[in-house]
Amino acid sequence: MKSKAGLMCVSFFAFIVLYPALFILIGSLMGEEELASNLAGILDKSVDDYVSWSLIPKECSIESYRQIMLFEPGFFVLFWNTVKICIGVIIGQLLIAVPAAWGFAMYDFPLKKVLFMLYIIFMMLPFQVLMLPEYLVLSRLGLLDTLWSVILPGAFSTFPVFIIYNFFKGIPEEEVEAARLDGAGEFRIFFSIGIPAGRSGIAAAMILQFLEYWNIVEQPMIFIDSEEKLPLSLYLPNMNLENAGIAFAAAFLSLIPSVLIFRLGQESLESGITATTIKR
Amino acid sequence: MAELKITNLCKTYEGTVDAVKDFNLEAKDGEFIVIVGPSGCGKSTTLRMIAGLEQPSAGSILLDGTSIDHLPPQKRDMAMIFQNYALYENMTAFENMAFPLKVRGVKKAEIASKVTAVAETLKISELLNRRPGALSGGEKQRVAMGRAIVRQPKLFLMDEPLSNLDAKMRLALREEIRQLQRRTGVTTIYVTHDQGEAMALADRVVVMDQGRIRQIGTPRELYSNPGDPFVASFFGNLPMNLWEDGDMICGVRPEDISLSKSFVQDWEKATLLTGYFNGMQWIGEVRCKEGRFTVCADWEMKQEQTIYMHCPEDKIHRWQQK
Repeated sequence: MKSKAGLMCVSFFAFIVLYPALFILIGSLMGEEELASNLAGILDKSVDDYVSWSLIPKECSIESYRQIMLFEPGFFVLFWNTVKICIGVIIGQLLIAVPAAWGFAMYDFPLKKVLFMLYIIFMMLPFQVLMLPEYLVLSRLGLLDTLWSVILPGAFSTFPVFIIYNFFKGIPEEEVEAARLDGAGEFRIFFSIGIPAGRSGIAAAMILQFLEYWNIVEQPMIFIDSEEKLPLSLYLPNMNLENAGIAFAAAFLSLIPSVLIFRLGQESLESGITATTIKR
Repeated sequence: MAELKITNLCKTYEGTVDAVKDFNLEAKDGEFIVIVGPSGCGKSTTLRMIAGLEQPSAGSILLDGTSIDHLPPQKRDMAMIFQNYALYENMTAFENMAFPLKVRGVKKAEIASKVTAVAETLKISELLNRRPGALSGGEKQRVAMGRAIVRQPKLFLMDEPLSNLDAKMRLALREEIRQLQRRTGVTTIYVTHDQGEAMALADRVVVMDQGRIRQIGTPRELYSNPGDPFVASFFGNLPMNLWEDGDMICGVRPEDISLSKSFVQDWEKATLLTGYFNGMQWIGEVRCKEGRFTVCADWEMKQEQTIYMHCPEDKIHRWQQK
């Protein structure tokens, strides 16, 4: 009995969490007329009514998806922009954050503590603080209004360094020393011991960063002016309510990659987060 | 095959005392040297300096007559065995043992045949596909030994390799380490805090205390001719009995004291405080005029028993007090 009540309780909260996604999915499957009548309360100023919604569309239609696929080339351009940003940031971080974390974890060098402190401070600074200096630097580099203005600062992000650092720190020192005595050079140790040991940390950091940059809003809003260079996250709020069906479909489509990535990496994400919070 | 010569090796950490001071040692080709001492005596630091994992503050290390001071660990051609095994966690036992060969660019077929042969001698053939997580402590240390001997290094370095194992496994592996070393003939430097291990394994023992060498010698020499009270009390299964006599410190080993339950002319009278049986003989704690002594005999020792004891003059060690 008790477990049944518990199950109901959990289901209820799960439903609350899931509802927005469900809402979007249902909306994207509604016909134009049904959507119009449901949203009449906000769409039509003359009608004084609440917005109504149903859990199951009266008649399912994939018209909105057809519309997007066939008549909204803009959607694809922006979708592609988002993909480019994410891939660029992830590749950049793999090339920069992973070796940086390894360096911090394995080697002693002058000013290491100060530098690491700076990294942590930068990790905690909100974007609003960094916005102006970043803008000035990007402007001098002539990168404003290009995707690089989002990709480059992202590639040098300090957050993944911190997460991956904790993983590398967990490698016993003797393991690295044994490898040195076995004749392995520093690069070899990095690739043969470091990367495999830090695998789930690297995966966790990359997934978190993917989700972050998939939904990025502020940076492109400030650094990018041309509409055709904006990411998807800025396309969605600009949709007209008249095209509500398309907006719902676009929103749902943009959800899919991040849900898939999350699902794929859920395990490493969980172990990654526990490893950084619980000192091993 | 290598001779090791260490001269005036020192290690000073900033703002602290000397971790190692004036360490001198010559190890002959194929010799098994054990460095022994209490924890914090600098023995591990010495080993790590030989390995190149730690930079000496002064002194030099020669391997086969050439200086290796400037060489990184990779180029020293030594293999090290650690207390916590230090296996590569993400590799199987086979890959662990293959790693030193792989790094040297040895061909795959040759690696496979070498690793299998070594695994055979260490009796770990069935474990080759397992990762370290699925191995027991003894098995892990066997794999680590395999990793060390799969290429013939110039020097084996062992840092308390048996300390994390239970007593039975420790004895078994100790024997295997000795056989392995005799068979391969690789010069070995072995660090431990356990005098029993040092006695059982070493050709020569280096006793260290507070960063300095106290004495170097064969186990026999250290046991019968200890150079100072520290060495004297460090060796032997039972602690040496020490007492002061004027400006001398005197010592006698429990096994050199004769005991009698009945009166003997000129023997010293003493009272037994405690006694227990250790499996081979009875060990007792007595009070006599020099203080509290440990003694042993093959008859049962009871509390408050009165006994008579005697020690021949030539069994008493004497050192000038500093």
